[in-house]
Amino acid sequence: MIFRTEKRAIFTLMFFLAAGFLCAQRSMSITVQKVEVRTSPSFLGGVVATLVYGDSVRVRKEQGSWYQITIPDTRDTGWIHSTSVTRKRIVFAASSADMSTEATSSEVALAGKGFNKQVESQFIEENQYDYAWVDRMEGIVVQSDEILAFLEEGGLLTTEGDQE
Amino acid sequence: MRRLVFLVFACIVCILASSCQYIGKITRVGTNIAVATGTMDEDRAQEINQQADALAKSFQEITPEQEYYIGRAVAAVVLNDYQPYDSEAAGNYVNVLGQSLVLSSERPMTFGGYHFLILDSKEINAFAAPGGLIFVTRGMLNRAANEDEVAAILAHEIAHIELKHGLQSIKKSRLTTAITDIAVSAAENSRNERLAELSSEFGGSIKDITSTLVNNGYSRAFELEADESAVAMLESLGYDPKALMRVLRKMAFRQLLRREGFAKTHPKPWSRIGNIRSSISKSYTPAEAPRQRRVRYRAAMKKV
Repeated sequence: MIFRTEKRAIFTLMFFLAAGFLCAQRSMSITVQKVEVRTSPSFLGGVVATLVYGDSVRVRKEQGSWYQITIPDTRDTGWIHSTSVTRKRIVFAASSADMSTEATSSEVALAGKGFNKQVESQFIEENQYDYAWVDRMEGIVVQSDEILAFLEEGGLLTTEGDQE
Repeated sequence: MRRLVFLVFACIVCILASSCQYIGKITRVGTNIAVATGTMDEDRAQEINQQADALAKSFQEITPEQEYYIGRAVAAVVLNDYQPYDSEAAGNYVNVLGQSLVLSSERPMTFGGYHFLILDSKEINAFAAPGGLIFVTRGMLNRAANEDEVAAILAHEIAHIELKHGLQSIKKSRLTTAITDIAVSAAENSRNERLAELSSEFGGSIKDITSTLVNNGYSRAFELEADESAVAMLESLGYDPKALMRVLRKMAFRQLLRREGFAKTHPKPWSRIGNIRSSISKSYTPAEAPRQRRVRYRAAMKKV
């Protein structure tokens, strides 16, 4: 009788572990243009890979606002901030210029739907706005080692990523 | 034994539930397939899909990618009225400082990232376009006396983006097509019609945001919320959160003299100062800024 109870307990435990494992390995999509995968849950951690919009990743575990993920097509892992991914699956239309085969729901997001490059082109044409400085602004990139040096030099905290 | 069966069953339910998020998707994909194979009328498919989407039509449904295009257009409108101040030293400084603050915000990642630009204007003003494009005038930077005060100004603008305040000034009715952008027909004319509709919604949305930024300003509630978030950013990096109060006091004095720019679009600074004071954590202990911080501030800002 004792044996049976133990066996039952082991079975139960195994099932919960299996369920937990499957839940933890959930799939997410990159929802920003570009994101650097880091060695530690901090923006100041080293970069191990770069992922782009729509890439699908498996989340292994969470730590604060950070997710540890498996880098696609590899066995390697790394960390990305939770604001760079969505639970929705991002689907690309056959052609981003063709807006005719789009879908939207709470679980699927279509890349390039709604307000997109094509709508922007129309907007520019109608209003004759100059986007030169907008593009120039977007070209300003600050590297994480510059930020680290800036924080250190200014006597500021350098543990921001680990706090969250 | 029965309990074991029950437990096994419960576990299977658990596992299935974790994949239940697929059900909603299946509905959508199902209607798409039905149309593609000719088993469902397009109008009917659209009706079903629209019913599903009607439930969740709000600014929160704007995808980061759409927010990016909205922000770029808002930035273009701002840059249509203001000239950029092209100084490498000052531009670099606000970008590195701004990025440092961004990393301590609740929303450090946006589709196109955060970028900062100084505007060549004496007017005291700052704008945050959705998605991360932030503008601050030379007039505004001149009100700041040190790096902590510049950080306070930038943190407040970052907070507006983090909290999606710009997107919330878009009239809800404008977002119908952009959010429920479902297309079932590949016909050329219907595609053009939809592009025309989207373009008109887009233009309207940009107008809603820019008139809020330039003329009407955000609600008092939004400003208080942005102040609170700015205080959190400043504190977590080690800047003096009281710098925000000091900047506002200067604004208050200025507001008595003139009502333009910042003064026109922001609630009375006095009403915000009390709220900021109460959001500063009890454990905060003021510390003097190290010499290097003062030196680099002067070097970067001397010509601004």
